[in-house]
Amino acid sequence: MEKIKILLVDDDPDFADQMLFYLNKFGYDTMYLPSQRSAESRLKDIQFDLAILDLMMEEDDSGLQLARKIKANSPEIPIILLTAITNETGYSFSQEFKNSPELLPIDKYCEKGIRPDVLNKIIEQLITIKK
Amino acid sequence: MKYNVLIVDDEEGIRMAIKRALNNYHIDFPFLDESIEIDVYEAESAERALEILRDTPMDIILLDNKLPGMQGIDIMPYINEHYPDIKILIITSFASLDIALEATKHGAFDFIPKPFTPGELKNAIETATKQIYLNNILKDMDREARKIRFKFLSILSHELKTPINTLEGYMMMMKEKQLGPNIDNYMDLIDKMINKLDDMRALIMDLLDFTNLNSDKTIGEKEFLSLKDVINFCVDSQRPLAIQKSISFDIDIKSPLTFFASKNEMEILFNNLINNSIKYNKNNGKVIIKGEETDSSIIIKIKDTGIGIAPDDLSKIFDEFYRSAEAKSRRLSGTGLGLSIVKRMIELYNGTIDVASKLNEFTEFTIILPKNNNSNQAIN
Ligand SMILES: Nc1ncnc2c1ncn2[C@@H]1O[C@H](COP(=O)(O)OP(=O)(O)O)[C@@H](O)[C@H]1O
Ligand SMILES: [Mg+2]
Repeated sequence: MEKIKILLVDDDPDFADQMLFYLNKFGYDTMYLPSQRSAESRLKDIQFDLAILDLMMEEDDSGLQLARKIKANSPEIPIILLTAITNETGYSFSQEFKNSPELLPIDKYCEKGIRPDVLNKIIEQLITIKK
Repeated sequence: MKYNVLIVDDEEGIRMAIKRALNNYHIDFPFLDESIEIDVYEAESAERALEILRDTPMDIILLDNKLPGMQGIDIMPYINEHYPDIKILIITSFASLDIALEATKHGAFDFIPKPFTPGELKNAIETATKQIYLNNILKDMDREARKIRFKFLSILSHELKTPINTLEGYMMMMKEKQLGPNIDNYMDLIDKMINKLDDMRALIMDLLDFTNLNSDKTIGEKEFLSLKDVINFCVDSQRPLAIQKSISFDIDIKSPLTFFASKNEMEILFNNLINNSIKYNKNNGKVIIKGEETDSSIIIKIKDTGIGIAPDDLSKIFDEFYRSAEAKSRRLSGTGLGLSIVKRMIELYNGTIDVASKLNEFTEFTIILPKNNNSNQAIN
């Protein structure tokens, strides 16, 4: 069986290190890009089965902008948006958009402190839905 | 302020454990003057929970997924409809995580996988509490100042917590021996942790400068200073850093540039700019500093031959905590506070700062300080 390939876009290299470590440990192929800009410039020539995007990079909504671009070309690719903001601000995307999920190009929101095993569960779920 | 939490679980042991964990638990927010206390109520079934809800307003419900009689998931639509402000947290075993994920689509705020630690429980409650609090203030918050304070403090707490989370992540990897039993495997990770600690120290130093600035008090006494001397002093103190990257200075200041100001503040200002011109430079690069004065003002230009700043970023670099993607992806450490301090400082002296740059070629900051600013006039 082909390994599942996950694209990670996050501007915090230390957080990315840890994520990549666990994703690899769970048996995924990974590809990492450090910014919205670098991801946009590569989107055309890379292939992946699922994307994990940080919400706030160059812009406050970089992750959303990227997600829109990915879904425009490949609507079938599941996207997980990582936010580090709920804990600080109380602002929660999943609540904000729970009434209109179809408006948003996101399959799942996660807090950045998410337990690796829980994240893996979410990935597995998104991948099987897709199949 | 008090929030009510209702535990709905048929196992008495779990209810006790949660009560114990939340006993004497306060939630402090940086943007809140008083802390939030939690009052805990319990119900052993969904039916009992609905009874309690009729008499006592709740803010958060910890809802076990598996109950005798009506299931947790079954009463969710009812609660959502009749008590839309209540946040529901689903408690679920790891095996039925899929159901919990599904539940968050149908109005549950979040879920807590069993078994959980008291820390995880508190974290989930804290997040829900902040959400409730934010909803409440957004309803009646129109005072701009409060909004700005809220925004600043929430970014600040984000900036402080991020490195702590990173450190915790690395420590968990060590504790779980993710890289095997041999300590040598962890050296790379330990170096990263040490770097993070250095970053945190820098952030705290910058924050001290920043809060001093906002207190309207001058840092140190004002006096007649030669900015030429100040600049030379700052260059000298940063030479070690420049030598590491083989960066040379080209300084052209003819007159002493006498200015009435606090020496401390001027040093903070030029240290930040010169530090950036080294940090964001390339190896073997140059830093070119020019200073001149007219009858009315002092003009100082600091130019480097470094990585430059993308056009989109130019307007943002003076914002608190803003760091460009280039800066972050090159693992150049920083707090994003330096230029916001510089800008405020210059404004305190009624001056201006502008930036021009070309990506990958150069960056040039131009500072204009009026000699006849209020404080200078007062003395002259
Ligand atoms: N001389 C420079 N050359 C290129 N980029 C710069 C320069 N000075 C500042 N910047 C950009 O502006 C951002 C903000 O700078 P600053 O407020 O000093 O924070 P820090 O240096 O801690 O990141 C930096 O992260 C960097 O992206
Ligand atoms: Mg700086």
